[in-house]
This record gives sequence, structure tokens and C-alpha cells, in this order.
Amino acid sequence: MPMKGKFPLRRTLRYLERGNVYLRDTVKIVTINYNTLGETHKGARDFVFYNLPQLQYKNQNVQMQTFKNLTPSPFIRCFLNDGDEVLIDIDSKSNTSILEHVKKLLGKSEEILSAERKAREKKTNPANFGREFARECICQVPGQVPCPSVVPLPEELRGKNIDYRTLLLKPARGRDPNIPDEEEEED
Amino acid sequence: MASHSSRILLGQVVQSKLRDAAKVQITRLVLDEYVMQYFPNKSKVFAFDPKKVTKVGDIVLVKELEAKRTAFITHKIEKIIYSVGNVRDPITGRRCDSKSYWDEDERKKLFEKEPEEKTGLDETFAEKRSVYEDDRMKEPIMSLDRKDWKI
Repeated sequence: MPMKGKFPLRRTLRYLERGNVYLRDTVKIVTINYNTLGETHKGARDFVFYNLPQLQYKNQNVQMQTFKNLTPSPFIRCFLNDGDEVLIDIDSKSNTSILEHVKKLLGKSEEILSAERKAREKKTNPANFGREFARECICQVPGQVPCPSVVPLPEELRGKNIDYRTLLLKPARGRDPNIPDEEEEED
Repeated sequence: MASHSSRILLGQVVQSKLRDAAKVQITRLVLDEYVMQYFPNKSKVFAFDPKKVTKVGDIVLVKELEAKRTAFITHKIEKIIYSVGNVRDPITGRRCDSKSYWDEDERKKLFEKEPEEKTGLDETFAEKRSVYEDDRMKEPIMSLDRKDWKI
């Protein structure tokens, strides 16, 4: 299927996933006011054309709306959770500088993003067991020792039947008792 | 994801026959997976507005109520952002249209009476107050004194 339209690269998944501005959780609404004509509004128009889809793709829960031909100067107006407003003047700015400005003001910093990524990994890491994770206990995994509450352990594995005295006197695994120890050199 | 404790939305007021609520149309961008483009998707919401502060066409900020007023009225008008025909630029605070800022003195000469500007902030959207509390209802329909009865 041929790529149709003006700058059809915008309509690829790869382009959308390239967006790197993650807005903070308090930002709920982003509105952009601009005019369809006028040199001072060109940056705003480019921003809406090139960067707004990327921004919306990375922030699915934020309502993004554009208003055309309402005011003589372009601006971005964001509404936060507590009723606060953030006003960004984008008169005569290029779309890249507008994006950088938005990232600086309302974007999540690298530290917050990496912390969130780690938290997500912790949940998806299959090595973790517990109530918050996917599996509560290793006994749920097929091939492992079944839960002793369901299937009783064999006698020799039960703690009350292990003779600890003789166990402790045995040499550690991997060590042959016939070969003498090498004396360690003191540094 | 994010909690819905304080959910605010932006929309345009649309005509409705309700006495104490405004119908607000909210547009959100939705990705069409095949064409890979964002298209506006409209949804309607009823917002509590007993004093009729909003006009049809206003751009309005709407907030979710903690408890629904009725089965349909789930939100309330938080703030009027752009009132129709009477847009105020947030940067300068002056009234304007898409081409220029308005000269207030000139307008006073041209137009005797300008439409009332309501922001919706000064009005108290008292939720505790009953919707049916009208001034008419305070006066009794019929006098309770026997002297006034004409029999």
C-alpha cells in the first residue's frame, strides 16, 4: 500500500513511538490555540502537524484539543488536576523549540522515567514471587516441588526428621576430605 | 493508571432542553489503527448549571462530581474558558478576535449594550442547595389566614 498524503511518515507506528515527551500525571488537558494563516503561527501549525500525534501517543490519558482562529497570538494552555493552568506563549517559535519548552515545563525528567521503568520491571520480572507479583509461590510452577499443604513432603525432607548433628559434621559439598587444605597466605 | 478522583474535561456547550444542566460535547483524539492517524471522537456529558451561566457555543471546563446528581448529570461546570463571540486572550487579558485585539472605547461607541460576560467563577454552584428551591416557592400559594378567604 503506497504512502499517501503530505509527509506520510507521520502515519507510521515507528514515528509515533519516537515521541519522547511524557507529560506529568497532574496534566489532564492540553489545548493549542493557533491561526491557519500568519507567519508567527507557523511554528504552532508545524507543532500540531508533526509533534501532536507523538505527544498524544505517549500520553493516552491526556485530552488534547486544538482551537483555530480564536486569538491573534498562538499559545498552549494546559489544565492541571488541581485547577491550575499553565500558559505557554509560542509566538514565532519553531516546532522543535516549542516541544523542548513543553518537555522542560511539563515533561517527566529522566530520573522519574527510569524509576518508573524499574518499578514496571520489578512487576514483570518472573524471578519475583509474592502477593503483588504474578505468582505467589514457587510451588505454583509446574516441575517444582508441590505445595506441602496439598501434597505432603517425603519424610526425609521434613525438618523434624533431619539429623542435624551428623549433617553439620559432614564436610561441605565440593570438598574432598582426603585432600589436605592449602594454607592461605596472610597478606 | 491515573486515578479518577479529580477528572476534568474540556468541551463545547451544545443545545439541550434540560432546565438545570448544560450538555457539553467533548472531543478527544482517537488513533485509527489502520490509517495510523488521530481523529476527533465526540462524546456528550451533562454538566450541572442551575443558573444558566453558559450559552450554547461556549468552551467550558467540566469537572466530575463526587456523587451523581441524577442518572445523567454526572459533572458540573467548573469554568468558562472562551465565551462565544466574546473571546478573551489569556496572555494579555484583552478581548479579541483572530485578527486583532479589540479597542474597548471604540466598541462602546459602536455598541450600546454588550453581552454580559460571565466566567462562571463568581456564581456559587451550591450543590447542597436544592434545584427546586425557587423564589416563587417561598411565598405560599394561598393565604393561610381565614380572614383572607372569600367564602
